[in-house]
Amino acid sequence: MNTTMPRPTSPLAKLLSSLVVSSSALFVSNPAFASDVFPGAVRDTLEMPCLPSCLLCHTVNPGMAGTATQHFANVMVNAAGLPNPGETAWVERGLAALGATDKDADGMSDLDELKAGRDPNVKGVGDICAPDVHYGCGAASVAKPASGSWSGAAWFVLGGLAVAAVARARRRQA
Amino acid sequence: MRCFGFLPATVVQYACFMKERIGRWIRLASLVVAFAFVFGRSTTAHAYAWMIKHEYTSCATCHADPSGGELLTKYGRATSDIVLRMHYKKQDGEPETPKTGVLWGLWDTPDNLLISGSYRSLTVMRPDQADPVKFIPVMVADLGGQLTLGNFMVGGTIGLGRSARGAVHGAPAQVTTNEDGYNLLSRTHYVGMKLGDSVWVRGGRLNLPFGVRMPEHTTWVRDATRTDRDSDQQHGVSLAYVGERIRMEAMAIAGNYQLGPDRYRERGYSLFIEGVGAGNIAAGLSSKVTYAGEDRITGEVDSVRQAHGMMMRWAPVQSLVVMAEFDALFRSRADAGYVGFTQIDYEPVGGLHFLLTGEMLDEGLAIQSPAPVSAPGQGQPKFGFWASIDWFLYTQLEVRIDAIARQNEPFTLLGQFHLYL
Repeated sequence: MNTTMPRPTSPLAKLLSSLVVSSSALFVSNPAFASDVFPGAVRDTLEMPCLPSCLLCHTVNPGMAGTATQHFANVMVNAAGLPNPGETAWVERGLAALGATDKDADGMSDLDELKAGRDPNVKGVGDICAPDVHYGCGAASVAKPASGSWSGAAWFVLGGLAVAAVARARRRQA
Repeated sequence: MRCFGFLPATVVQYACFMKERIGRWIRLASLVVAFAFVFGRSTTAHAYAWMIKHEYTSCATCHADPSGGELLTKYGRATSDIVLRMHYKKQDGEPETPKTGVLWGLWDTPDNLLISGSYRSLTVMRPDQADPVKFIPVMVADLGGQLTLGNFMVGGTIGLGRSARGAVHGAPAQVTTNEDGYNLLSRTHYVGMKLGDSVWVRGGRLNLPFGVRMPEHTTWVRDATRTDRDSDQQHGVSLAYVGERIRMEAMAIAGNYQLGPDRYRERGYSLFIEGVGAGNIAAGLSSKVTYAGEDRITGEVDSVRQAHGMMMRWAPVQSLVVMAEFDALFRSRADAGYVGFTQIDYEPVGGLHFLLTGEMLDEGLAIQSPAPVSAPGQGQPKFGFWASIDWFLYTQLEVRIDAIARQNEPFTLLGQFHLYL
């Protein structure tokens, strides 16, 4: 910080300066803040064959506040307490504490059901996989998104450069 | 150094501090562009439908998009500098020449080239949570532009963003395919042609013409109708007309070609028509119908979603604007639902807005077996309330605070810092 500058003292000034300073302290925190990180955390922790849908915990899809009342959500809350939004460690704690719980009493533990891509809320297989949608240009033609692929970006930038070059040429001709 | 003597003594010190920071802010704005190529998270954009209070009922005079939003024309930049932001000095004699160039007037682009950028950070506070404060340094990091060659135009935005795995917002605007990391985003990109003074034909990825084009993209009315300007844009062809008393846009939706496989693409139409009456009042109708082989969020097969509604904007006096929208919702295999909002915007001094927003939602209960239990928002009405302060403190600089109380949701405070180039 430049110590030669006067420091704001009023509450308004402090608010503004904190916003400016915090905005300049870019990229230091995890941007995710909602429970939309939970499905990915469950899949990663258990190495599930698919991303579980919101219906694993919620009664509606997409999940809304107040609807996380599925059996599995209750089991997780009993095991790990109430989660904070975006707290993936809560998912890991809850899953680690599940043990051999078999809430739907179908003979396969909840953990094993999830690892097999089954719905632990209902007897039998169920359907817990989220839509297998892929995002990004060319996503329609790939089975799994290529991590780190920047080919789409490259084409976009090249297209922009081409447009700029044409505009520049037209200006020079004029 | 001349240093803001016209301000009250209690803020002079801060004003001096800010003045010396202006140069740094300009450099920071430039750096945002560089930062955007390294990091980012994008979730929103801006348009101010309440400009009707200044008798700007049409959007096309100030925005490149004939239905409003984002990229400003030079006239729009001048208007922004004159009427949008707070002026701290009483104007005597000749008014200052408004800034129409990029980077606070530093770069005057050729007349046929519009360039802009937007940076927005967000602080989220939920007092009843164990970890109550979350700072999102880059909510928006976008560059946008439009090149006009005669009657033809090409334009769009590019930025960077990060969406969590499984997230349904943000990701649909991705250009690159990182599953859980930073991605290049493009919310809009298009080619178009202007026919005469009033008609635009555009093709590409466009904002959906529906309802009030408002900056609060997380309101239920934008979320339930899937018409926000965060990432709900679709590829297609649109025809827009902006006349003296009528403006309208109709879009044939071909689907979002930045996601796949094809069965998840929604196809159909979206349109609005708005008429302007005497006394700074405008009212209109919106309609949207889409079909997808499988809904990308719910997984429902052969999914049809419809939204049909009405909207109005009214400025009874210059310091007050009332805006409202009400839409009926229909989707396959669910009861009919509805969503709506009403917003009162009071601007006691130029550039400082106090807003009250009420919203309600019932998406309708899904028809399935076993029947789901109804909950607020799903088979029962759900209500929300926003109290907001929006301060346009300098040219192209905005600070906004929202207090949001929604039924069955934690009380939330949002703080945003927004600058646009």
